[in-house]
Amino acid sequence: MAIIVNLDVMMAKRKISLSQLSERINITPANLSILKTNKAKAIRFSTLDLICEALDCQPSDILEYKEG
Amino acid sequence: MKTHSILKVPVIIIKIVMVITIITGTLITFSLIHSGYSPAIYNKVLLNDRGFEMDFNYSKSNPIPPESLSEYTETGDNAIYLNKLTFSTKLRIWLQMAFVLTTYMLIMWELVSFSSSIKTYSSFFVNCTKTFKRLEIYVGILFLISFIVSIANFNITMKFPDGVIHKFNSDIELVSSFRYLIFLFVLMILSRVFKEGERMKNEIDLTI
Repeated sequence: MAIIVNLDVMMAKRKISLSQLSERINITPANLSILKTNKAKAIRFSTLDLICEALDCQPSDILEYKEG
Repeated sequence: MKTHSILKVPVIIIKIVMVITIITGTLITFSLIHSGYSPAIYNKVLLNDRGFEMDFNYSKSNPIPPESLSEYTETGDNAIYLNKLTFSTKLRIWLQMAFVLTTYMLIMWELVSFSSSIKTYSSFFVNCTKTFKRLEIYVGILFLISFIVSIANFNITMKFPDGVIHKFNSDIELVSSFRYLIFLFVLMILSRVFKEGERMKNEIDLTI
């Protein structure tokens, strides 16, 4: 898939761990890990909304499109 | 995902049928072997034209079974006597019965184990694909056996003290074998549907 999830980059910038983020947005660490490691097939807008709110960022900071 | 209580009834029925199938197969095997050693006991046991069913209603045939080939031919008796069959005929009948009953048992076993696996949501889709693949193979075998027997002249040979007589079955029942082909097609369609369902489930599971 050409969509890259840069969640780990944003988490490092905001200095927040996976467990802390999962507690804030009420998503399990396992699911967040799936997202972080680019194994997810799809993401809901509601989830994207919660992540952007928790990390104070834009969707483009989390999602990136790379051809090839 | 609970097993529906309505599934429990067919599962019990299938298990009973499986037991009956085992008993039937054992009895038929025993009869075929024992009729060679104690033929007098099986004087009134007849087979139908295709050699598949045993008829214990002797009133349909001559009350006294013929003792010789000339007597059989003179009376115009058309019955097929189990204790007069040659070894090769008995072997052919037994092989056909063994193949068919074994395949039926395997199909029933798959259905029973599949229904008991529909207890957890995750195992349902995994077992579906494997179960349907196996069922396709078993039903395919049943169709082949049925088709081959349908197109081949089923030759039954009876041996009397004074000679041998061959009876040919000229009925060709191709249509009855196609019921297995239709069942096979239904299984193949269901298999593809559940495979697609498994793919969609995996996609939903990985939607965060």
